[in-house]
Amino acid sequence: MKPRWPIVVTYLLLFAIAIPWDWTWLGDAATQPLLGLPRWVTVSILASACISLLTAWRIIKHWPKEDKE
Amino acid sequence: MIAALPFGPGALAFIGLYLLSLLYLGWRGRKAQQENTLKDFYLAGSGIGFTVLVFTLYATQYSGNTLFGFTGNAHKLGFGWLVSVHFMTAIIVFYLLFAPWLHRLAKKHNFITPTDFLTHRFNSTPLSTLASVVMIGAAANYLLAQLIAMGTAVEVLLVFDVTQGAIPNDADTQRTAHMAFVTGVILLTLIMLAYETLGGFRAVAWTDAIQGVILMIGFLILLGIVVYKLGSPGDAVAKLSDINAKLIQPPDAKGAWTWLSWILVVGIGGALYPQAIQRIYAANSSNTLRKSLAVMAFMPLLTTLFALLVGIIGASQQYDLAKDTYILPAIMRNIMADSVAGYCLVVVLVAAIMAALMSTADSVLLIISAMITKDMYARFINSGATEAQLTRLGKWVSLAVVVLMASLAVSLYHFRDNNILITLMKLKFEMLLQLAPGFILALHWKKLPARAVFAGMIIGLLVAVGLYLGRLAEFNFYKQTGIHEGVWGLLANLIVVIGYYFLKNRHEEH
Repeated sequence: MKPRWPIVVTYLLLFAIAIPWDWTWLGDAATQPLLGLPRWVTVSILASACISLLTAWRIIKHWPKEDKE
Repeated sequence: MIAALPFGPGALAFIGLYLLSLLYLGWRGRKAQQENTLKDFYLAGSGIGFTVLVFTLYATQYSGNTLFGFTGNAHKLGFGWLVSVHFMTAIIVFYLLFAPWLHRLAKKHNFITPTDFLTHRFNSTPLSTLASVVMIGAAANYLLAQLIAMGTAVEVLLVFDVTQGAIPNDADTQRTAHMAFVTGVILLTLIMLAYETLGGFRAVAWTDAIQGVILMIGFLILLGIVVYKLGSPGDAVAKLSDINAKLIQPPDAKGAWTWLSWILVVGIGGALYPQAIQRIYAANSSNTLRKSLAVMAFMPLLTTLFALLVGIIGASQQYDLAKDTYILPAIMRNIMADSVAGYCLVVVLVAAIMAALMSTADSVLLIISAMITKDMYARFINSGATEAQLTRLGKWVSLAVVVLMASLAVSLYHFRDNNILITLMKLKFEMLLQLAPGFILALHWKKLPARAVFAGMIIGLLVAVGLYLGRLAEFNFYKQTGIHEGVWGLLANLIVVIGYYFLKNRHEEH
């Protein structure tokens, strides 16, 4: 499992989305419901689901085969 | 006194049967023993398969704290506690950085304890010893917290009065509460010790499988019935926007940095739990580990997120509670009174709570025993001890550790809410984080020298623990910066590791 930069960047991007850095600029819109939950919460949960999917995909498809010592 | 969960004989029989099944699995584990060796006792010989590995990883990672603490935190912080879903997911992401290679090395070189890897990689006694001390300290810290949680769970389930939102203050109830706590600690500890001593890791993993299934069913039932009885998360959000809007607000800028800090602290620290590393070693094949971790990647969405939503729905009910962690018993009492089905489901939930507490505590106890026996006794006191002698000693070590920790848990009964104790019991992640260069960097950076890792670990521990203990002297660096002390420690640790490496290289070039 060599570090593949597109994957690393995707992880960073997804964690950046999952963390609600600054929703205050949206004002009340941040807490407006989206799928029954506040918008920022739904976005954060979806980002988390994407991280889980990416991780599972990475584990299944790119599990390292070579020994490393 | 109004008992929180007034169980009838059927419910008590179910819980009793569940506890007996754990002892039976311990006995089966003993029967399955193939040889009297450390590898057989601490890693189930050639290892465990996919189903057992998934559930033992699950049951060990999600403790009683996930049920009581996480629902309580969601009740207190609202969606601010959504960070818990991210940090539990991050644990699996961080596994990707070292678990595949560590597993292969463990199989090839017959590692038993986490420190065996460091000894193989660096051959440095000071480094291995320091790492062992850090891991034993962190694990003992965790074990004590689990034992106190066991007693508290039994106490709350039996004595908590939902009408007062607290444990009543009268002398009789207080005496009963104390007795329930002590009984909970002693009874559950004895059962745990019995099956663990009988069957070692095999028994722990098998009981974890049962406990993991019950825990998973418990979470599914919990959210399902809470939504059915108290309304959907959407209803709760609508209510909270009127009665307590701050629970649905996003964190401010400093709060967002704290989220990142949580993700690093629990993500890295949780992946480096010694009992988690033991499970990486115990997978019977690379393929088993691979599939198990792929499944575990989704567990935060099915467990931590559920706990969060239960806490949020509970907050919308405006229970008057003395402590936020009482939200789960309050909801359970509510469900129980509703119908026979509700009653039955709460009985399963109580079994799930016990499962969550015991499955984490037994795993921690086993790894402490392994590290004291192999990393300390066999290394420093009796290097000529046979495998059979060490295995026998390991069982005595388990007994000694659990007696010590259970006595401590019982004697700390009146100090459980003391700030100093609470602060000290949360120290484990700050310490474990400092192992990251030794385990993660060292696997990929072939020239990384032992001295650099050792120096980095020392500095990291001094910074992390030093700053953390400042909390006791009203100097709360975490509150001031929003970043956990362990992260600052890890930063200092990495600077020393990298600085040492480059300075040494430059010196050698000259």
